[in-house]
Amino acid sequence: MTGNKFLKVTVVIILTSFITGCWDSVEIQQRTMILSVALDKPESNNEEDRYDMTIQIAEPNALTEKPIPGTEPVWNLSTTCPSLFQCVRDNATEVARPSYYGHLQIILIGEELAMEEGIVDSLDLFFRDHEMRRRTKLIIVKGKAKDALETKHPLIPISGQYISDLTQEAVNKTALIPITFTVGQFSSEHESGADLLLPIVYVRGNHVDMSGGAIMREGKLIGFLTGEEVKLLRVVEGTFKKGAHISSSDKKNENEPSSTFEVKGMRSIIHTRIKNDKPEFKVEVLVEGHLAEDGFKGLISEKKIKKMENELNKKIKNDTLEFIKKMQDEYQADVFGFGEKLRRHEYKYWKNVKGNWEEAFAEAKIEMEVNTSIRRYGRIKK
Amino acid sequence: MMIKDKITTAQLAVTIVSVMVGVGILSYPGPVAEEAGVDGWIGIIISGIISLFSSFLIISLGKKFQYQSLVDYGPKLVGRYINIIIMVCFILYFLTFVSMVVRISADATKMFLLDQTPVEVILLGILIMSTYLVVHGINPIARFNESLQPGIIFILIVVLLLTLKDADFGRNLPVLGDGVVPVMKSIPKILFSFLGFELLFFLLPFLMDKGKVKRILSVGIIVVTLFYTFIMVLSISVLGHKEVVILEYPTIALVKNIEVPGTFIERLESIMMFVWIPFSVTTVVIFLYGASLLTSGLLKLEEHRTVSLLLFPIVFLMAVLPENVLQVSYIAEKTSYAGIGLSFGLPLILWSIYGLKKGMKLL
Repeated sequence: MTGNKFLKVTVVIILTSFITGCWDSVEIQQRTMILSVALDKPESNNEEDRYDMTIQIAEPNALTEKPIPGTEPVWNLSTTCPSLFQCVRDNATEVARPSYYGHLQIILIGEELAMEEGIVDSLDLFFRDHEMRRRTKLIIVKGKAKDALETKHPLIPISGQYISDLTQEAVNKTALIPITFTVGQFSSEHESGADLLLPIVYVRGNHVDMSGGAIMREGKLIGFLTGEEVKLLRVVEGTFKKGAHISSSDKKNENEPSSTFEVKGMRSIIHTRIKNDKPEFKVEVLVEGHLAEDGFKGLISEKKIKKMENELNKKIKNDTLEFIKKMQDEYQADVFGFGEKLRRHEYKYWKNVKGNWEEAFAEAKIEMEVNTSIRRYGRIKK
Repeated sequence: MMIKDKITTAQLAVTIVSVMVGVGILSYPGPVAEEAGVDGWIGIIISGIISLFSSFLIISLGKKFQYQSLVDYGPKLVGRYINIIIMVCFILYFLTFVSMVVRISADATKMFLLDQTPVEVILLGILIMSTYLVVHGINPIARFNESLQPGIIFILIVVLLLTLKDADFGRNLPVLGDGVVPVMKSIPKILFSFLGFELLFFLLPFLMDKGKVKRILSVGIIVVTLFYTFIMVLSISVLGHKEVVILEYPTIALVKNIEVPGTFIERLESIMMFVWIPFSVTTVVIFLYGASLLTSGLLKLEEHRTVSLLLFPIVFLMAVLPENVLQVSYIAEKTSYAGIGLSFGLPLILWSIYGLKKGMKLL
């Protein structure tokens, strides 16, 4: 009987060791959260070193309301090394706490690295490691990537957070950066073999300016687009959504104010057709929104609204066609996803051309049809 | 063999659903997209129909023998010795399958949740729990599935619906762009994910009322088919078919895409793991039960309890044996081919033998 009791107690004691859990737990204060990573080509002449990796470590209290006085909110730490994983491990020799990449918000890549080496090799770690998320933002920096992390926004103490918030804002509100801005989206598009755009950021003294796109082909940077051009790209894609604006240029003389139209919604339909063994695309864009500014050019009337709509149609159409022409002639880069449309709707033809789609795209005939609707004109009738 | 506990038809259906939806749920879109590209969903629907057909064959065959288990009616059909061979095949298949499922789930758990826990400890955790349940017989297992499975399928669907924002369903076009050949090639790989209904060979005697078994079971298999189709279409819509091919766990990548607005911490893949571990545990439990049931039936034992405890170390050793993830998937693939033979081939063969013997008036 006593032996039986002893056995029971032993079993219970052994079993408790299984339910303690948290074998792998690391307390949150013990971790250093890496919020941003900047990758550059190293300046040193050491042949072995391929990357110059700057990590931004945020002081955990700086994320909350009460930062500890006397501590800097962020610490930027640079290391050069042959592979990124080695960089991460090398950093451990300088940072006292284990670093954690699970909340990595943003990866900044310097222009030089993106242009010469391409970014796919360097992103391997970010795809492979289980800590990384697909939502991490991926941004090209004109110039040195680490300079963008060195900026000090007067209101947001952590520069990585600042750039990350800015991206979110820019993609939704201004339409000046492309919609492919995360590691996951990059990976999907890159794997499908398409050319794509990534957002680009310019360092301006103590802040940054995010507008425009970097054209990526097979993971390499091949050219830049301005913010206005990216806007036109998003017209073609139909992703140019609320908040953004278009100014129409119906000025009769220099001093006359131009009208501005605020976009509230947009949709695009791309029709594909094969004619004489050449692809033809017809882009149908439906835009709707408000009149934002008109410069008091006279009373609003049905006729005037119609006239403005026509002018907008013409302007959007001409600008977009001009931009498409530029992409066809200068870069042969199909960042619009016309190739994907062919794959979906004209698969037989696509199988033949996908090997040299760049040339086929350059010769494709593209038509635009824009239909703008001005729904409201605001509080005044003038 | 004495039968002590019974299950209802609905419980049987839930049990079959739980055993079919298993570890593959995280990874199957990859191999399917590799073969069939964007047409994987067609393959899944065809495979669902094949599974339905096979399970009907098994049930009808059982019906001819008063819903006995294959262990009992096998000798009448194929003779004693061939029946023993079939049973041994089943036992080996069940045991290897269980070991691989346990290993795969332990590996994934280690990768995503328990980074520094030795894989053996995770294996032990899952196996001890499963064996505990197996020892208690089919009714507790069925109740376990019944209480767990609907909930986790619901949570999984809710989590996956959050990805709809990023989904572009046009990515699933064109339909049959490369013809039917790639779809046909993908079917064996999809059938892996449908394995499990072969347990019907042995579970029929436990049924309380045998009337509506076909109807309720088809509901179960249709649910599984729709569920798989949904995940397949969603992964391609969100990730694109080329990306799905290179990912080890496309379904987790899908969840990693989710962004919950306004939160700093947005790691839904832990919910995913929370959902997925029960999926694999239910599979393990039922296969382990199947193995112990067969072994005890073969050895003419009264019940399976002792056998299931004896199988425990064998499964554990088989699970720790492979050296890396690639070996595991190699063995898993080979086992699954054996499983396809036993689940889709065997019913056909048994039916033809039955037909022949009936024709020759031997039965």
